[in-house]
Amino acid sequence: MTSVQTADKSGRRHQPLLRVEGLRTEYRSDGGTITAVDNVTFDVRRGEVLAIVGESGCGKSATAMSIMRLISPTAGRIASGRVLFDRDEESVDLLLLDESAMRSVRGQHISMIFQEPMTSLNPIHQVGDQVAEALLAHGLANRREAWDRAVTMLGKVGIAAASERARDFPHQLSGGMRQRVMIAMALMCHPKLLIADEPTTALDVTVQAQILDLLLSLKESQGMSVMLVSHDLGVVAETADRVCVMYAGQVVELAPVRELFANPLHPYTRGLLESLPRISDAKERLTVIPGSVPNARRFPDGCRFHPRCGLTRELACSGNRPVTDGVLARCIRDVDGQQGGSPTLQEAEPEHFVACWEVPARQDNQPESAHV
Amino acid sequence: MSEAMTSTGRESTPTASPLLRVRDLKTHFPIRKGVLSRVHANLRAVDGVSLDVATGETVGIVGESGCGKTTLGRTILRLTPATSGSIHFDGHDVLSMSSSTLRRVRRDMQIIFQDPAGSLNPRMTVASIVGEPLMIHRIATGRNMSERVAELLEKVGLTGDDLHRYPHEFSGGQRQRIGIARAIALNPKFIVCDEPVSALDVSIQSQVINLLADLRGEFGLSYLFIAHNLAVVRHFCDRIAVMYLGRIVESASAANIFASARHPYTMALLSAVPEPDPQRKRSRIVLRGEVPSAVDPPTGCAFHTRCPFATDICRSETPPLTGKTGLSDDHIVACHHADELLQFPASTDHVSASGGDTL
Repeated sequence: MTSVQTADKSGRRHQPLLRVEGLRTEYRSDGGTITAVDNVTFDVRRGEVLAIVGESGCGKSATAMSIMRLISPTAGRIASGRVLFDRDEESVDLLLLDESAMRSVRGQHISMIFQEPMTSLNPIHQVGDQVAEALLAHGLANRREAWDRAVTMLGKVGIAAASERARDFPHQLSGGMRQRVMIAMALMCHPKLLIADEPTTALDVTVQAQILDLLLSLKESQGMSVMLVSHDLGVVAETADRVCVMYAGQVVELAPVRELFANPLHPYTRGLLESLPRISDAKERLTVIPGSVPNARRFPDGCRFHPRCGLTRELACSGNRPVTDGVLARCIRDVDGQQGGSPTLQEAEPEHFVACWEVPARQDNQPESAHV
Repeated sequence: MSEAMTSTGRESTPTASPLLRVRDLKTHFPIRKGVLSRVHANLRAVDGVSLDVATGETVGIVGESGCGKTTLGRTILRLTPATSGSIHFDGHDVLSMSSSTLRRVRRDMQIIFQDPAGSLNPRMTVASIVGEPLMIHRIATGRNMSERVAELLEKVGLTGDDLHRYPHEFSGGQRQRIGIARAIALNPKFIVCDEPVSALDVSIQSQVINLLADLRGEFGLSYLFIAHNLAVVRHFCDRIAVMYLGRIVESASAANIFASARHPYTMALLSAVPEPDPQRKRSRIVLRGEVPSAVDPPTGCAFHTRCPFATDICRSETPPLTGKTGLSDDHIVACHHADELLQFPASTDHVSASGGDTL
């Protein structure tokens, strides 16, 4: 909080565009509530690509949907936290806005694109109308102007013969073209933040390369920030400036991209990187993370990764640490001896945050660690 | 004819007597239109594929969606009828065999699907899913069967306690293990793996790939491994065939495909794969456009519409799939300009990156 206010005075360049603080999102289910997003904190800085990476069910999409406040009230709710967004030179908490103010933020200031463009486009409207709709909805142009600007934008996202393609219906376009249309829709109002939820997962690698190149060049030309949600570490390595790794609803590591890939500190991140088969080196056998992604209905107590953690087992076997049931006592109990607490995100190296009991926090500069 | 081939083959080289031999295979799907549903056009999913898989060998098929890789796998198992060509498996002519022979031969050729949730019957317990092939082929019943099923489950990393559970009680990775247990139940010689890890989480993929590799070692299995993830294919396969619009455009040992790809499509495909290493900046060949329709494929070389090196001959003549000077014997390419393209390596990085491997 204080950091935000001081930044306000000292100039806006160092203030993040978006700051998510202690976000907690719950879904209702037959067996009670599921905490899909649990105390998640991170920033998206101006002009950067922040990647949120994790496996299915780790809460990365739920985090994106919570920022946009697109969690259906019948399915779940945002239980606590703040989403501070710098809207027109003023920091607002998106979670406190009324629905009409939020609607003007969506599309105009923050846009989102999804994995499957076919289900996000309306099959019975021409794509030009759908792209133009954002301008009309926010009252930023009349019909003719909106159409013309839609055609221009379709050209910008690399659609050839845009004025003719604008009259096509979604089914007449290929998957890559549809994703380009989605991007055009998202960029119509020149948003400051684009949230891209697995934008290339449904596409072939050659088309994926086209779309990623397009996103990066648009990020530069439009001067926007991108929050990229992905499960693909290759995509993340090639596009992100900073990476936020999620596991079981929590952020476990956050670092600049080169630092993360060169020096992963969390055992989960390390395991993920080691388990990838790589084109450039042929290994006999792949390293594996044992077990499977935990079900959100019953996350493990303590550090949620401990049942699959190689470091824990290694240290437990060494015998000079307190052990309970074959696991390091600290991994299933927090510092106060309470069962169930997970480690919090601490700065272990400059700009490199990790949530693991076994990775020591940086000694100097401790207070900084509270503000990512 | 096939007898003659295999017997002469055995004397020369082991690759001359492949377990599976596919020649000029075509699978076309008719597109019908109008009240009389006349055949209006043909979708040429597989359009003249020749391929060998030796005993114990793993051949990878890569290519973008719509290139015909899945149809090829299904046609080889006769799950989809072929239009023309020949398939010989273990000395049998697969396309002309009677249904009773087919049933017997199918014991030896199995398939693992991409989506483990969609390929397992939700109303059947694991015991009956894995036991079904044993029952159909009358290999085991009663007590014998449950013992055999429990044994299979242990092979794939599940336990006998899982016997009476239903597919929905398992995670994606475990469901794929059930699919694998079912596929190996009859001790097959050959398994078509159709994108076996694409639907799985990253941390689970490596577990399943290691399992498939263990089974290959233990039972001497041959795999036709269909995938779009090139890193996985590189890791797992002995040989790789790259498909584009129903045809194989390049085929070589896994190491050679990555070290000295000669077809522009292979180069583009390799350069498009994002590598999990932010230090590495690569020159990328970004292809324009997408795979054209297989209903009306381009004339000549089907790739010419997207190829940065295409010339007139590419638009008029279909290039044959042959060896080229300077390439190893098992490396074949279908490109008119493959010899000239030696000067345009896909990315110097790939060549240097694979330079340390034993090629």
